[in-house]
Amino acid sequence: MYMPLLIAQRAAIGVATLMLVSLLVFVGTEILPGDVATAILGQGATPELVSALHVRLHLDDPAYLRYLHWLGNLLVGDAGQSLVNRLDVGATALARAQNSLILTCSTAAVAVPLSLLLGLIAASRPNSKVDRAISAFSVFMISIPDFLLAILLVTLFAVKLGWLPSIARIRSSYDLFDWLRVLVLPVTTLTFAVLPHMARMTRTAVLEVLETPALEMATLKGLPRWRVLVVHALPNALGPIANVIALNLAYLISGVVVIETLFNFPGLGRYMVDAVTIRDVPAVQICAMLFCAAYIVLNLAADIVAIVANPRVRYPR
Amino acid sequence: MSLSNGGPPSPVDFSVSRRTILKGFAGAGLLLPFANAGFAQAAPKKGGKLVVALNAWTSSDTLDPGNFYDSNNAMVGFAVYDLLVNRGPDLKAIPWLAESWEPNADASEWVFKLRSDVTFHSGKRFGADDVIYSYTRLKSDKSTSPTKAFMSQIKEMKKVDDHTVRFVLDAPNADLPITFSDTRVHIVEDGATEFLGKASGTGPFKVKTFEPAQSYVLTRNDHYWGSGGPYVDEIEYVGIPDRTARVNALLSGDVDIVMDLDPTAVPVLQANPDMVVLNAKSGTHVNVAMMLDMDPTSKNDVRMAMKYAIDREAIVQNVYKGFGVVGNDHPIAPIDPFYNKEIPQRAYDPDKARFHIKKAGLENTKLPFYTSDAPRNGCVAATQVYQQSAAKCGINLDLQQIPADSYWEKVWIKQPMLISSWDGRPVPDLILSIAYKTGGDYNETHWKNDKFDKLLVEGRGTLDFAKRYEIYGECQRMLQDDGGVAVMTFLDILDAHASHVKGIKAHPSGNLDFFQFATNVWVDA
Repeated sequence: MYMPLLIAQRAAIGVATLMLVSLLVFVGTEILPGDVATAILGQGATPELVSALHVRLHLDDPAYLRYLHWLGNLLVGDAGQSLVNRLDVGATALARAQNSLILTCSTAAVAVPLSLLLGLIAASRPNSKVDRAISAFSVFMISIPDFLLAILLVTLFAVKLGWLPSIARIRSSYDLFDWLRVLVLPVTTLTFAVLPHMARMTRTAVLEVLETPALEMATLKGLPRWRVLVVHALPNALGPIANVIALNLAYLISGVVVIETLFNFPGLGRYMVDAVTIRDVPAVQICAMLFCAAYIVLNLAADIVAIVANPRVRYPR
Repeated sequence: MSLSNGGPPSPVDFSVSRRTILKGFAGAGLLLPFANAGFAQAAPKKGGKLVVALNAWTSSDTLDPGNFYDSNNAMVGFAVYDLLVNRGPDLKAIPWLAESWEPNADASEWVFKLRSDVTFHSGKRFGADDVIYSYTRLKSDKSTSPTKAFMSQIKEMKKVDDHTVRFVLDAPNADLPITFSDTRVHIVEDGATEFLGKASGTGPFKVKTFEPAQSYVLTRNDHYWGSGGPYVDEIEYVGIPDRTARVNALLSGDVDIVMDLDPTAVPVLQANPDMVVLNAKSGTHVNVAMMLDMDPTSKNDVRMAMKYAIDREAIVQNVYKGFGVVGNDHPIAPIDPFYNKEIPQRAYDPDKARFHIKKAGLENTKLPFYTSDAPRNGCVAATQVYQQSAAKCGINLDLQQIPADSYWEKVWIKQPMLISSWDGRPVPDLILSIAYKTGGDYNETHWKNDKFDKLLVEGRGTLDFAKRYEIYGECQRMLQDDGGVAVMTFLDILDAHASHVKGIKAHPSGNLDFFQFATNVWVDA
């Protein structure tokens, strides 16, 4: 199959998945107990106030109508208004997504090269002292909960030493240096959270490739070790590595609510959690759509990398 | 009879008199000594910027005062708007945008005189039309404001002249002035309908940016009608829901002021010479609510057993680290001028509790008790302490922890026994009429007592303090003996700021000087 066709096919599956997710999320928010009216009013909810809010927010329309209405608008780029403050949820979510993206890309810029390097070093001398040290370090880091690490880092570098801010106050006036100061602690925390997975996967994938006859041949014909690893082994191992990197990056965009909370980082994950808490359905939906889109795009990218790196996928027998 | 204290005091005179009152409070032990080292200090300086950590910011935050649902929202609101009537630390009404007021003989009609030297941020002069417009919004049929419950007592508002409004009530109410010191009845501009992102109030600060849960920045209103503050150039608010992160942000210097401390953080901050902790005793309470028309709590023996089985002292000490005072079995706090001192404190008494639960035939029987931290932080921990102290009395509480987001809707006023919490109110009527009046929407125990209801009406229509003291004292006694409420603790209000921040006082009605720290705060650079 030709490559463009293959990619188009994957993209089409992605869009279909997105539609399915929108329906699932809508159903999910429907069966949540309570709605935006009771969530806002809390202890102050009386039947009279709740029904007044219901009328104001059109919550009494049938569910399928509200769903279709929303989906139609979304297709023309209108994510709708927040039920809570009537602001455009699309604009809010995109601003949050931008922050999440900055956090993700910064983490990726540190974690991906570092984990490839560690993985390659470990694979180059399997079962050596260095390999074991890297393995031990990985297992150790996986075992430490990220929030604990975050609290330790904040206590040391923000509270005790006062070198770095303990919370991330993002402003439009931030220059590169401000951003760096804000990002150091969360990026460090997240790097330690995702690095072990990627490093271990790199090691495993490269070792697997090294055991193939082609790579044995390369070694036998006297190529230097680094050349065998970087030029021959790594490209062949890139498929699975790209996959685990994609999954980790998607996790960084969507699933780091705890870290966002601890550093008060205004990311998309916290926006969604807050929106669920207050039953702001349009906001929940646009977040879910963006998360789903991130997963799909990143997986697509991983597939493309695998296809480009490995001709066998391109021309299946 | 005039209820205003003489001529209209300028805010500076007022702040001096408030200081005197505060000192009196501290002497009486109502404010802890470390509450604020701030009175009688160097003259305030203008300038500087402050960053304030709020305990939350949510997409429901608004600049529409009637819909302030949380204290973090009220905090921003108080900087932008003014009330007609303010509230002193002694819980008495003090003139604010209204310079004086006078009731008719039975307190069913009130005439409020307004200040004539006040302008809105837009430049428009403040007057009677703004008051009538603001209050009409709150009580109208379309209103979704919780203030509707008490603002709808206003039957009619008449503009006597540009700076005089006459209020005709549907029944006598001696508490009308203090009612106008509620945190949601601020005065907006006549005709204002737009409260997203910008707003025009008369308050000490103007809105620079207000994007819900993203950015709140206010700048000083140089035309503020008061003659003291505001002093600082700009205040930025940041919502930090996580209590540990909030204190860390203060310690690391990222913020200058934090509202709402976890009691466990207080010793850490007190040990730090660069930090000042603010502490005020308040009427905010955590209570057990038992339904009087549901089994098993319809039997007074069960209620009595439950009341005797609470080790209130242990809850105050263990859960709230001593930052609270034990409650009795009614919602009026010891700091309230109407608190009935003659009712003895209900003590933890395993023998009496066992006697009553035995009499009800429910000894060691599993009794479901609903709990959640939705009412307030620490509620689940408090119920766990309660479960243990009750177990020693032969009462087997089966704790049911309910997710915070469905607690009010699914459990409250639906299950016989649960934990609840109320913010402090300035006068007894504002809690008794809301939570204990027959048929009230928020009557969480379904307390139904004709004599009690009559006393409420009588108390509301009585202007004489001594008579009202008798009336509300009797209400407290009735609840103490028969009611479905047992107050575990009245909580302290805990805030903190860095030592370069000056001029913030503790106040029993709300965090950071009843949410009004912005007016008098200054930076000692």
